[in-house]
Amino acid sequence: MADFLSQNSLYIVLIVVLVVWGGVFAYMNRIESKIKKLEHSSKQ
Amino acid sequence: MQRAESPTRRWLRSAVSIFRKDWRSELRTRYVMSALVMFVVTTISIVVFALGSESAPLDALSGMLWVVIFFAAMSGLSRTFVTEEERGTAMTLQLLATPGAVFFGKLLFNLVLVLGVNALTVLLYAIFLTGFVVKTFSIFFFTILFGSVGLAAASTIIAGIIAKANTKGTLYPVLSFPILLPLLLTCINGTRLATEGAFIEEAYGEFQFLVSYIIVVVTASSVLFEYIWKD
Amino acid sequence: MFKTLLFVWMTGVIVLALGLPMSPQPRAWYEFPTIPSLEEKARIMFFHVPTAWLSAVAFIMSMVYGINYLRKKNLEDDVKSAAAAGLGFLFCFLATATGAIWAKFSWGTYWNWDPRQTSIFVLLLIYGAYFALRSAIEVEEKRATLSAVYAIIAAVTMPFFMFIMPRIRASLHPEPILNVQGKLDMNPTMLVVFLASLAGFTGLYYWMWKLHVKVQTLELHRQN
Repeated sequence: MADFLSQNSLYIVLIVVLVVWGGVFAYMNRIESKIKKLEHSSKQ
Repeated sequence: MQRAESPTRRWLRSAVSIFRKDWRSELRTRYVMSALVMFVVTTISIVVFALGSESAPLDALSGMLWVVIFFAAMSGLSRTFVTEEERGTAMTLQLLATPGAVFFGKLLFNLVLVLGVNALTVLLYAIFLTGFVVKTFSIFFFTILFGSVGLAAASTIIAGIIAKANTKGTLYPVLSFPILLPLLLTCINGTRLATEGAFIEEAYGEFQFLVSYIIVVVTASSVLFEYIWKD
Repeated sequence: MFKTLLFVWMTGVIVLALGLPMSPQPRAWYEFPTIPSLEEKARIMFFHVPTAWLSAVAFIMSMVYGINYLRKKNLEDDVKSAAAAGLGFLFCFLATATGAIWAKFSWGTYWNWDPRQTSIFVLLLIYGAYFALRSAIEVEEKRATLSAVYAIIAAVTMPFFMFIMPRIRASLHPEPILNVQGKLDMNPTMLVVFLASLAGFTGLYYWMWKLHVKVQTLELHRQN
């Protein structure tokens, strides 16, 4: 198990970073839609 | 026939009278001067005690000198604006003088203060920190001179900024440090050169730097001060 | 549309930055050259440099909107200035942290007082001072004016700092390898991925900034 990890550590990092990036992006999207809703309601 | 006073003359007179008002008020109460003198004495004593019988390396002593100078400036140079706010005279001053005159009057006051305090600091430092020996006095003299002017310039505008804020005391060093850092580093370098016995030509770079710093900061401050000062 | 593009772009950048193979003598067009002491860890450059770049960009943006505020007295400009500064603070912190990690790998210790490291740290101090100032003033117009003035003064003195650092520390460490020659002496493949990362991060920053501004403007108008 440790061998596998040390051999492919770079790819593990890649996957981790992609997951983090995906999470950040999804979070930002949620915030943006909430803001859009607020903007619409305040315009009325 | 009387010649009308040119605007520049009027402005200059205004600035000088603001300086004199501050100076006279200071001479009467001696708040700032005594606090500063005590501060310098205390800080240098702390340094001496902290070093004990150890002798610090010369470079460290050069740096220490400017640490003391910086904190002395931080404890004294904001008073010129803060007292106006505290005494409620700020608004009157706003009505009576142009922002430019106020700024340069206060700058002049801080300049005199800084030069005085630094002279004392250097004197005490040289006496009590026996490891600190200046070999090229001309470099040292100009470093202290230009450094003090730059210090006064930057400190005055920042003092203007924090005078209107809430937590004045602690905010002052926090805001001033990044602005003053280039000046301090250059002065420490100059002091180091002076203690190493370098030729004055070697310090020209530092002097050029200090003079351009002074010019830039004073110019920017005089333009920006008007925005701070108006309510 | 912009968001989808940004997502795909950054995903691509991440995959390329971390996925493309490294070899001592890059022969194929998609290979990175190996840097002797760093090897795989050099990939951090694709992420570290953009954060530092953005903290500088954000600083300048903050100053520009500060100047706009002083001229027009429109509080929306102050919102934009503060939002830029907030993001700049975040990216500056990331830059300092990732820089320290890189320093550990290439020079042995986390902190070295290397010119670049020290300047990013000073930038961090400036951001911190900016927010300390903002939190000390309650009146909106005053806060906007004073922060704008401070941002401008800080921006004016930063160049001085940039100039002395090399002189004070000339005798110490060589700087991060890739920029010391001044010219971009980078392998073409690396250069492409690097610039793509820079662009992607800038896009991300722009999006975050826009969102921040929208929220703050909404709050600003709600108070009136």
